[in-house]
Amino acid sequence: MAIKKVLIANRGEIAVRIIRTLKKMGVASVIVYHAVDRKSLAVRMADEAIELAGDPPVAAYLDMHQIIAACHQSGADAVHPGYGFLSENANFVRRLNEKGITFIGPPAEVIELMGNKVRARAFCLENGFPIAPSAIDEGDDTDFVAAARGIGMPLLIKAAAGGGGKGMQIVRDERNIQKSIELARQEAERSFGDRLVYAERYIERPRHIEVQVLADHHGNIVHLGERECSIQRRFQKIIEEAPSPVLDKNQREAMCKTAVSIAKSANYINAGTVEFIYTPKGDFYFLEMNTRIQVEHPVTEMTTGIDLIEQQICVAQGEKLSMTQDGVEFSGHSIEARLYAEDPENGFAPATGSLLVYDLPNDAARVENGFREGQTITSAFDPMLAKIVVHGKNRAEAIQSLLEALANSTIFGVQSNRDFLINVLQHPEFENGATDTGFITDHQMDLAPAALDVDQIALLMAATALAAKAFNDANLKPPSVLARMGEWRNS
Amino acid sequence: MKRTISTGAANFDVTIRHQPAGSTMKIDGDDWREVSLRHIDQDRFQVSVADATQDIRMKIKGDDVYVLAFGRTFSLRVLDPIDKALAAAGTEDLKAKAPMPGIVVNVAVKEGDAVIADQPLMTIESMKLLTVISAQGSGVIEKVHFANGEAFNKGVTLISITASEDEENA
Repeated sequence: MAIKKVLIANRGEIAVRIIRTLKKMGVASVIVYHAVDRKSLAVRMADEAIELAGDPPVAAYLDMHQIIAACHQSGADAVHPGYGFLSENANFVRRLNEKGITFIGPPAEVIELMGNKVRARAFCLENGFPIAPSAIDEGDDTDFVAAARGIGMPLLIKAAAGGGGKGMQIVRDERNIQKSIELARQEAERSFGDRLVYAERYIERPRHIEVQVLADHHGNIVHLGERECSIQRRFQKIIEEAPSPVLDKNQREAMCKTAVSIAKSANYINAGTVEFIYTPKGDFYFLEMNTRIQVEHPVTEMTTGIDLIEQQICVAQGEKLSMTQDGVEFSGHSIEARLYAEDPENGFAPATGSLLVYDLPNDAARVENGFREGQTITSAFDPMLAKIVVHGKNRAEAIQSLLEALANSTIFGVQSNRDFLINVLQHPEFENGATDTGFITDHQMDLAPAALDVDQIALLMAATALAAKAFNDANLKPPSVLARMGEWRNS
Repeated sequence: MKRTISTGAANFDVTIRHQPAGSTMKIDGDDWREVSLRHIDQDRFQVSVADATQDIRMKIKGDDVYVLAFGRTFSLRVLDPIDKALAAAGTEDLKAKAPMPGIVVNVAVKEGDAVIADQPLMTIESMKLLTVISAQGSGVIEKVHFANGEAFNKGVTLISITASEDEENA
């Protein structure tokens, strides 16, 4: 049942990542892409590339019909969906199966169970797994608002159909419940095509800790340790690490065992992640399960030496897991920083522009990147540019390595969060491991760029003035006849 | 030659004099200082002001000067004197501007509607982030420039509002 050719239904860094493992395994690759991605790294790397139509561009990557047609055209016998897009779409899985194409991920019914956040929570409740107080939207607005009120403030309204931080609203004042529900519904509709939301008690200062699991078709399942992803802005993770700096041996065991039990009860197959909220008191609640490979999977790979994409393909081929739980060895500490095209000083608003200079530390760190110097960054997709991942003997060493790697990164032409990431990693509270999802908000002042001193200003002014054409143009004296024509410009 | 250079956070009036012996620079009302810029290779330079020297990376595109210095990234701009004059003129701005590029998801008002400060006018979406654009002050909607589903760039005026007159002064 060996897979011969995989179609990657994705783009950017994860498409590059998947192709890299496929090449390592000697499996052929074909990628689908929208015209805006024509010059991207992934399209150049894949053995074959098929262009899809879509307006806006994101529609191309959500078009099941075109993607399946591309499978037929290329003879692909399997599809890797990456993350986002159709990766948690049970319909897509079914349609592929009907055509005899293998979906590299869990079965459709498992995606339906866990992919729908409301169903997943109900499942955990029924099976005695820990969850935070919540209320579901059963269609009647009045009932839902009343139930939400009953949970108590503050609360969180979330999209039922997907994760990734999309479709989430925090409500602190009862009077804002209705408005927040509507806003969350709209965003849920746009991101996942499903307006269904649910409300949950918002735990202040939680840590976001998740466990990677891997299961095969033969009833074997292992966990590959936890990741802490508490450094977030706009509910999106920007720094992740493995292991978590806060868990002790017992807590780790409890959390990882719970994750495995949840996955087992759900008959989970392939790679997945069980996410928990960890409270300041040391309790943890099931948050959601992501039935796909995650953006931050590299930190788990760095601490276990396991290639998760490869494991996904092996499981999809029907192979037994090559490791037992006792056989998984954890070593050192790994941290990942996500580089985004955004302006941290402007509410992290997405930025656009051209990558005039795009220099990443490929020799000093593991860099997962989907862009090339000269490419244009548009508002068509999520603004993540690349991931910088390091590994160290311990957490302090890993932080140092990551700081060096970022110091050696240069991004010109589009605003990025490079400087901001450095400020986070250098913050004493980050170094102490005092991380929770309120970190960025709490330390806003510290994380803002420091004021420049007069000497630094002078150096910047000198460099600009001596280099910029605008300063040097007017030094040329025009011939007197032209001078009489008035203001003279060179361009 | 004098120009205004903006760091994004602040503006500085910078004058450069080129002489056979070298260049000197004056910032705002400060003293003249010797300055130099040495090209090392590709986008690497060494800039000096009096005794201070700094290795930098720099790249220019049009009016934008990008610099990596002191471990930080800067985007500097030499301002066009005409732009400066317009900005200084200033007008009471009740234009609802786009904080980022995106598309319109919902329009809550129409021409002629009276609005008050903080009233939601429009919902926009950019890279899956929904934002509500609210009125900066009281007034009457003069024109809604973008309709549901239309795309726009950062900084454009989405909705024009005629500010209301203060009743006591009317």
